Amino acid sequence: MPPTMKPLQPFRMPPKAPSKIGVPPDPSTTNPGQATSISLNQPDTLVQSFTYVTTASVETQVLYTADRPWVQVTLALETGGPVAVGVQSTLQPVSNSPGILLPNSGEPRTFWIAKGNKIYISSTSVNRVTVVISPLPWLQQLTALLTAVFQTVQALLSKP
Amino acid sequence: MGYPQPNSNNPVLQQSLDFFRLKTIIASSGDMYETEQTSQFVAIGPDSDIARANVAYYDPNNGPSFLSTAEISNRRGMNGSLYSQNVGGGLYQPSGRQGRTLLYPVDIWDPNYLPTGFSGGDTIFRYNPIFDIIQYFRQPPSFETARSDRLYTLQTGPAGRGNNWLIFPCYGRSWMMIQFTNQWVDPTTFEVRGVNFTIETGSPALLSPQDQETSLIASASYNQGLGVSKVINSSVGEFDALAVNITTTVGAPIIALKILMSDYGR
Repeated sequence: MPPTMKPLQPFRMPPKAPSKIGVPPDPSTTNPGQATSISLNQPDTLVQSFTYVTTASVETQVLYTADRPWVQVTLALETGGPVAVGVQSTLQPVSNSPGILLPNSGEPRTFWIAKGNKIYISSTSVNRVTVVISPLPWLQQLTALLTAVFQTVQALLSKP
Repeated sequence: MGYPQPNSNNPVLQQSLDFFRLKTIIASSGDMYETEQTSQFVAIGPDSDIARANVAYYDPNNGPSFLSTAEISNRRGMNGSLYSQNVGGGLYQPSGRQGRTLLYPVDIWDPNYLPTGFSGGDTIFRYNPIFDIIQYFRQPPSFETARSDRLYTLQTGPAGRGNNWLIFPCYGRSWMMIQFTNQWVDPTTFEVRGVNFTIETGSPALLSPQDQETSLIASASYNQGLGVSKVINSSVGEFDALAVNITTTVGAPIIALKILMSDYGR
């Protein structure tokens, strides 16, 4: 029996995921209230790194909006500052900020944040800030495991 | 002052440097520069002719002007965080200008200086001083602020046939070596004066402070193959500039002139 041959299918590129490297998430397109979907088997391992350049402004900007269950955000100032960061939406005045000032020695500062939280930034001069966003797979899996256990217990208790 | 004025943000945006270097030729003592960056250390740069500079910064504790100054020199930098006030509050008074960090020479440069006895037909060539100052965005690993030695070497004299004056800035140099040899067939006159500039307040000259001159090498004529050599140290004096006269009956004589200046004695 001759082997059957499948007709050639037109090749289609898989849909390209939007790159987040080098581009801080736009807070207007991020929904902090969306339902958390946590996978136990496929932890998120994507690492983002970029340089954020501040401008001299009296405004406070959103540096990052967490769009994953748990991430570690590491910030390091490469220039003289002053650069204030924090979870408050208003960080002015920078020199007496309610947030924290990034040390001008270049020493990194680390935040562990959960999905939906934001990190804000403000400066009165032009500065370079390196940003590294790392996932926390073990914390993500732990959260997923606890969620699964909680949902199972809840389902058992809800049975008549 | 060179135009456009150097932008202190360019090293951050374009070059990813951790310092802003202002290296420019000044035109007058009134030249003033500003920076929008924060400095952790400010020092005189290695190529600077200017030995002393002022760093002015916004200081909310120093009213009513809110401006404080720190003088740095070839032996002393300014260590500490100086924030430029670029937006919002932090205004110098009474001007109401943003409290950016200002950098300007303390040493006096007289662009109109003419040596005593200068007359019609004489020529003067000025080496305008270089203002080299470095603003570090982070504390540098070492605080070496000394300047490099400055070396001038001439193999041909000026082309003018009258008195030809050359002005070499030497602010803060505590040791100098001057060596001159006439290699032209005709006799050449050579003279060196040390000059300290003053801010001349205007005319009439008799009522205005005048630049001071000190004879370092007296005027003398040297035949071919002859010359003079002299070491000038701080016991003789420190000067703002050297005024060197090279005069001959022909234009552009062949000479050998070496001037070496140093911040350190030998």
